[in-house]
Amino acid sequence: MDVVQLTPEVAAYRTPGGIPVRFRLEDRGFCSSQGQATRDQLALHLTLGRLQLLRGFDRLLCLEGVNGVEHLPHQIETVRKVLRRFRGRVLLADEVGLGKTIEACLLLREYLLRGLARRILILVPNPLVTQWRDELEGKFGLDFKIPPRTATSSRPEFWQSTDRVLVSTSFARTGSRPAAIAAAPWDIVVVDEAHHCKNPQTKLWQLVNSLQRRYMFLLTATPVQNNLVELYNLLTLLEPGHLQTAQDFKRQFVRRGNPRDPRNRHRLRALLGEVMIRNTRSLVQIDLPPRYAQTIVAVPGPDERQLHDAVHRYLRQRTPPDAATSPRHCAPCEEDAACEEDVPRERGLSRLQIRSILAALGSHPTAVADSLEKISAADPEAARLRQLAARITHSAKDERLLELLRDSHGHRVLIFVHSLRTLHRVEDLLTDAGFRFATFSGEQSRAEKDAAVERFRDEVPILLCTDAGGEGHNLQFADTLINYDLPWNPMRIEQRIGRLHRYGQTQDVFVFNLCTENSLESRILALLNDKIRMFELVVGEIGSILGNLDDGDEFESVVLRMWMKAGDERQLAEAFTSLGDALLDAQSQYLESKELDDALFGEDFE
Amino acid sequence: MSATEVASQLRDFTQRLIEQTGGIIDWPADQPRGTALVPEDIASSLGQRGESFPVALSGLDAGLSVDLGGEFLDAAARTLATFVPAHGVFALPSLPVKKSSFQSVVDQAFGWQNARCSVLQGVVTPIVYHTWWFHVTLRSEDIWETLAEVTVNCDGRTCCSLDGLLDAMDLQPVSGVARAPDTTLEIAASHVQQRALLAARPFLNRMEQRLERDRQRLRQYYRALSREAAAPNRRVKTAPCPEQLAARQRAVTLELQRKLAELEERYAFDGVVRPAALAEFRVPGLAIDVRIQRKAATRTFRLFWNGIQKRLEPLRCSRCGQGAYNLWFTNDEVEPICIPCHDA
Ligand SMILES: [Zn+2]
Repeated sequence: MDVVQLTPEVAAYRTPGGIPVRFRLEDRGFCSSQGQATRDQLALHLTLGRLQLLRGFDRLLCLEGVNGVEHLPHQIETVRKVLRRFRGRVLLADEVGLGKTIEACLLLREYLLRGLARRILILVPNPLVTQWRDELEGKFGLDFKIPPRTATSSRPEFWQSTDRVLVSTSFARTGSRPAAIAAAPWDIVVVDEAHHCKNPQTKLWQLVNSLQRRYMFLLTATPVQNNLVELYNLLTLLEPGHLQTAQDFKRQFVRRGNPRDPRNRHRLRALLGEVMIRNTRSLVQIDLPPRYAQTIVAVPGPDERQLHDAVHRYLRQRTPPDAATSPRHCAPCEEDAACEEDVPRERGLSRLQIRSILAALGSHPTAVADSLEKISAADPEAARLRQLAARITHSAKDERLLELLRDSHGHRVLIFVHSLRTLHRVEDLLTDAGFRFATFSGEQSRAEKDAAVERFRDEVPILLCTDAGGEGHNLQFADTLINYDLPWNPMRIEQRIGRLHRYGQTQDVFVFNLCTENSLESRILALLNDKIRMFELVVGEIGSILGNLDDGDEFESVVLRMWMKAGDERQLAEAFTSLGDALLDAQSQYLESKELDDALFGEDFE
Repeated sequence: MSATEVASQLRDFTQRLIEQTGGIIDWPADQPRGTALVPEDIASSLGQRGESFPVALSGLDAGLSVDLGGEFLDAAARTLATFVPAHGVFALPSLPVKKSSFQSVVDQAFGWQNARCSVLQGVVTPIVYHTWWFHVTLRSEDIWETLAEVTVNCDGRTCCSLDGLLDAMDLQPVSGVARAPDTTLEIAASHVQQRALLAARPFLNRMEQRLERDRQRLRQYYRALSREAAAPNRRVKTAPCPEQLAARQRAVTLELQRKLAELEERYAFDGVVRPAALAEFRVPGLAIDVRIQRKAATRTFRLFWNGIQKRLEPLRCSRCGQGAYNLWFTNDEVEPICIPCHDA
């Protein structure tokens, strides 16, 4: 027969320029089909084919099918630019608060939807891991695996076989993990707070440099910490050779003694413009109205004070002696069971239990009763405390809350509470006092949530929310935020504030923080408010500050460890003082580099 | 294409999808959302929990959210692949087929170069074609894709330019046995690959230029690094010892090679050819048997004349498989080869 045998399962060609082209034929069971399709059925298959092609049209896919994320115009523009002009390799150096994380998530989604990427590695400082996971999962429907803190993570197979990994930089760069991570090919590598890669002598720089990747997004609001060479080192990770060699770069651009004033500024700017995007507040015209914060300390009555002291005493008795001194970081990890610190010991409580009881104590006595419920069955002391807590129906904070609400007449008020139990308590309180309000909580269906927001907008002056509150809804018509209780993690506090103090807000914003005298929360508040003046910071800055505590744990773990380590209130106070100093250092480091970057890149950097 | 056009296509497609899979859909054109009721297995293939669910172009919490960016197209593709056949057989019944002097028709159509051709017989017969539709994707640093249609003459095993048969007015479904798809799949796929390479020329060029720029940049960078490594350190005033120097140079070269290899890997084109649908057409035509003589060897071939294009179809080159009207033959055998293959 006059047939040439072809093997189109894998046919190889080369372009005139010599790039190999390999074709695969995906049969999809066609060869066993019988031929009974009608014309309409065939036409339906062809329409699907044409619709699939439309994905490639000049539109962003990442914006479709994402519920509840507001995209600012500059973020969408950034996604377009990275896709077209920057070919997926970019330093995203937006000023703080303009949503670099959202830009990166949009980009990830776009690349995934276009089939341009499958395997993604995200490296972030330890304190920001949870924040990233929430953002990826909650807002963009992207689930990422956080490597377990077990031997598994040192094996190359783990990294080869896991397509989407979110890992802390400190974890990734230690032990034999760098080699394991570098052995696997990645489509996209994302590095958050990338200024930590400023020095090629460090393990982190070397790790990122060794990664096999197609696309890379480096994120930092402060690419230059001390001098321009750091920027060179960052960009060399991205596009080696784009700025030539370090010597060439220094010769051309660095002026000795004055890091703020590079030579050949225009040429440098042009070169940077090819690999870096920096949106600034003035460029995108986001100017938020001022924000005012006030701490309201409630003095507890005798019952509540007694409960507070008793719970602290009880928890100290039940804290295993070595729990606090354990050197191991307790960062978020998926296999909680593998984290032995979380396993309750004989007559002792696990870290998680201690943490949840302490957090409940900072919220409301009812929540304390709730959190002790399980333990009470086996522990008479816990049962006694539980009775004590259940007897206290009113917290000192309740009175202050009602006062605040009476004073807030004419304002739209958002009240945040930590737990559902507390939410129901405050609901009763407001109802008894005759306030009209709507409730918004994580347990509601989407329709119920929509209805609650609508009521808040059109009918009632108060919206009562749990932490999940209001994500995805415009609440900027409200101007007052009351933290009935306080999350231990500043990132969460910032999320709450960010519900109101964001793009689209036109009025001054007031934040009231309620806490009980001498409580752990009052210490945290003092730290955040007095030391780093957190409530005056721009949204996003706290992340940059915490990100500078690169080796640190998640903030709540730090607080918990301090509490467990301290034998008494005096020691606890000292621990808070030194944590405050560390935060201050991290903050001034951030501020110095911010100032330098502002001077370097100016306001009009494109 | 405007957003409204996309929306109306999506809506139309969804309605047909539901109906073709045995469901009913109520989605008036002026309404943002509608309701569908489908058999249980279809519902689960579409990612829906119940048999009845809302459909809308956007803003759905639960139900089928019809858009380009979400899961919808993947769910639809899965459902179509499982529940809707993509292979049909049709006939075009009413085409006039004339009989005339076959020899002159053949001589006008073909140039036989170094061989002699004589017509043995011509018969009126349906000619069987496979029209394949393929989704072709080329992935490099960027992505290029198309939906391509290829028609293969099942007996002649050549690709011919008979497109658009599915739209013919008097197409009739045929029941009975179809030709096996694998008799033409490889021919069609191979043809579509070559066509894709031609059609994607601008895309391939763009990628080549990008790659070249990236290569240049890397080479210059590492060349400069290696020059710097060789230069004496001005501060220390002593030249590095030769072994150190050689080691440094080697490290730079290795790193360059690694980066270049990575670059090649990144730019290599990964092509995927995926059949989307197949139609078999029976078209009235003529089969003309000819005898080709070349020196002592002879062989018969069947030529096809179809009633749509009203002309003879080419023979298949024994080297490259392309259809050709101008043919050479090999020295010892009667194997047709097209002129480009012969010249090469
Ligand atoms: Zn040929």
